[in-house]
Amino acid sequence: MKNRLLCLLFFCIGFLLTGCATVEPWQKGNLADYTMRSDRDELASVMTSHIQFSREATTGGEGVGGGGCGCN
Amino acid sequence: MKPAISLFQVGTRLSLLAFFLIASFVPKAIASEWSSDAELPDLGEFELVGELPEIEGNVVLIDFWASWCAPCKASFPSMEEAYQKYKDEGFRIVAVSVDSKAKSMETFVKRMKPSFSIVHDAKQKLVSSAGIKVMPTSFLVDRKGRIRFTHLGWQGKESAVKLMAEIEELLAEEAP
Repeated sequence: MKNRLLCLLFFCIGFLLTGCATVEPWQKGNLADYTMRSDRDELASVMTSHIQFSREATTGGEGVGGGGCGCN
Repeated sequence: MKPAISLFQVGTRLSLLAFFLIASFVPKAIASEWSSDAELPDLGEFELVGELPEIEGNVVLIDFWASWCAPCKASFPSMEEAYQKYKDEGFRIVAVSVDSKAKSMETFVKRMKPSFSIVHDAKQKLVSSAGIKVMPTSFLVDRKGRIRFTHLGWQGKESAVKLMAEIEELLAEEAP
């Protein structure tokens, strides 16, 4: 029984591996689309940044000045 | 004491795993890539949409681009300049669009207005055959139909200067 379960596990892993695929450079049209950008909505970006700053005391890392000290 | 798992069972499982591993990587392994000094394949075999220029006996730049690729857009003015400068000496450009939608390609072409040849690799057969690693990638082919130079990406003025020098070098070579 244990052996059969192991076989089934190997089979499942095998099937999952065959599902692996790489996106070729010429297939990145959808990934390069504007809608895929995380900063496409300026208001949402400002809100997220504000929440992170005020609730989690973190800032920076988005190409803006300040190193996260919260002193600016 | 009898082992919990026999050598035969281990072998069976390993071979099964090996089979799936190989199966998952085979399509990538058999994909051919264009390399330097290789002969340019017949472009007519790849179901390209659009008119191909006369390739035989000319120096040809095969450029793979897409409307969503910013460096591709940046490379177009320099390619246009090179084409205008050297077209009378036997220089041709085949700009191969790899866009999945023809409309995206048409909008881009209307905006850029290139005077060189634009073809659409709608089924992405040619680009798969070339096996490019970055966008844009261009191949400079000599008068004998051999791929001589490859440009990966577009680094602005640096790429433009290099491209011009390579075109001049190939144009200076004797026709077959």
